Amino acid sequence: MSLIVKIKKQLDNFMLSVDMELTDEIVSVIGMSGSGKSMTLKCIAGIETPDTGFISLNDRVLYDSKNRINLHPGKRRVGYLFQDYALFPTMTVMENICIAMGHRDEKKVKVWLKRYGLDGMADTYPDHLSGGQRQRVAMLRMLAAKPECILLDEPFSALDEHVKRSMESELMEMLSDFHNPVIFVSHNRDEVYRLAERIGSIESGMLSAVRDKKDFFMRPMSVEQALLVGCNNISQVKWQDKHHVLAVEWDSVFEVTDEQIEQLAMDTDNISHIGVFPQDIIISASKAKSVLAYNNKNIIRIKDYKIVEELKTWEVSCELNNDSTIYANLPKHTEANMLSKNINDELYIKKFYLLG
Amino acid sequence: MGTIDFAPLWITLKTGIVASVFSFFIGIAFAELVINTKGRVRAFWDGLLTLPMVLPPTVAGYILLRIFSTRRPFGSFLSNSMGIQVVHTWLGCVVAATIIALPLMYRNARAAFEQIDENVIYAARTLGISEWKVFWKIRLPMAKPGIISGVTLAFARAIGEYGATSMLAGNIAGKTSTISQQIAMVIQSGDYATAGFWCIVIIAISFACLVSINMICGKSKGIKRKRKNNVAHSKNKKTVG
Repeated sequence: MSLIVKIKKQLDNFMLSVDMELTDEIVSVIGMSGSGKSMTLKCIAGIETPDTGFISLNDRVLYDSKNRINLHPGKRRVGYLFQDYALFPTMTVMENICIAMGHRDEKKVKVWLKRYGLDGMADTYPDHLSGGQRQRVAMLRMLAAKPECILLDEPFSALDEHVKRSMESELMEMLSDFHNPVIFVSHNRDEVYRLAERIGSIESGMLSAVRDKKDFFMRPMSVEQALLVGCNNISQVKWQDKHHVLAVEWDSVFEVTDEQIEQLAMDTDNISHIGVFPQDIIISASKAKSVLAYNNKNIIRIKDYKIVEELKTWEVSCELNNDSTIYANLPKHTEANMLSKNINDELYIKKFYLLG
Repeated sequence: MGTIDFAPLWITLKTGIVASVFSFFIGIAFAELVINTKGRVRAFWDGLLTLPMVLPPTVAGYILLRIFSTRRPFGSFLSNSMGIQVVHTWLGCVVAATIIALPLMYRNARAAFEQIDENVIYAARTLGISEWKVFWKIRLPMAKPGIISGVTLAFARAIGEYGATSMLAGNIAGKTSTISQQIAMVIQSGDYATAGFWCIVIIAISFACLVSINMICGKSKGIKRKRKNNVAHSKNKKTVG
């Protein structure tokens, strides 16, 4: 069971370039608005045609620009779940599902409806269904066509948080019997972390390498990925020597360990930025010895700071001498007296990531 | 006023019904054609199909007369090879009314098809539903309110047609004399009472058509509302993905 996608397509603002391989797993593509996520799915489904490349599903060629193969969407066996579900509004739930089966097997459909809490809804029109019911009907309709691969196009992005969670678990339950590739596209990192096993990011049409989700979130490798996973303090760097980089915006030197260099998936020459998670910045009330002990390395000096109370943390936005800003987080249980006192003008960076 | 010969009413209704059936199929077919073309070709066809709506009907009548006259190639071909006479026959009434009513059908059908959320069509295709079924079972039912109002407007326009009909079909009593032609004729002979009677008939039928469009569209509110949702969704889509 595998899906291979290697395609290129020139779009208005950028070149879409996707290279990925899936087995029977859920892979997520995360990217900002207009980064080419939906276009990727549309090319796989055959709604849009790439300029060049190759797509195959379970050894069936769906698209091959060299051999001029371009299967009609209906022949690809690729299920596509649209954000608005795209149910047929003039058909009942039963008709919606039957038309996808290709034959009318009401008995079977009724069993499915019962199983997914849609008992007695067979003759209802999509207009009269709740969001969750619509999603289930759309899933059943899609599964009725017996797809060999499923594409989920931001199925939760238009929903409220509390509805979202229950619909997510419903969707996962329906997918639990589906042992084929699933691609889930989203711009929401929490959603992606909960649903996917492997994750790739897409930026201006370029899809990054697809990685294990923990690795993806813990170890960003590019500026875009860093921003997507919440590592939002970014600075340009200049190499000083083999083990030291100068963070230009922050005007401070960082020490790079051999371990960090070993873990890099690219050449050190390609490192252009570093990124720091807000939670990896240590703020102390006084010039603690441990900070001083760091020999002026991995330390950022600040001019001023402001503390804003967030839902789960205190957010400290620190202004540097050159007016750039760094965001740090303090846990909510931080004592109030520390917050009221002047904090030290040196921030110690516990951990940072080299970005290409 | 004297006794009234009801032949013009039957001729008018017959013409209206047949012309709206013709414009139904032709209008939908051209709506499909225009939707699937782009740029200059699209502009050309759209302009050509809308032209009868803005042209003086006499101009349309003149062109039709030139096309269907038995002294011209196409007209003589129809009459000699297929035995079809258009000029000065009831068929002429139908042809004239169809051409004049077509833009109303075409434009309504096109607007109705264009309003359909394209994701619904994409979904249908990925589900392996044939193009034939997509059209008859999904797109046509979704476009129904617009198409019904198109047909009704086309019918109302067809029964009121005067200019092109009088040129192509003439005013032959019992054959091509429609209500509108009858009105013009009796007024020339000073019979205002009969003219007034036919005017009331035409007004009544046309008004009934317009009222029924409103009632039908009111009934299928569900579909209309759904469409608005879809439009909103597709806007979302653009901003999100």
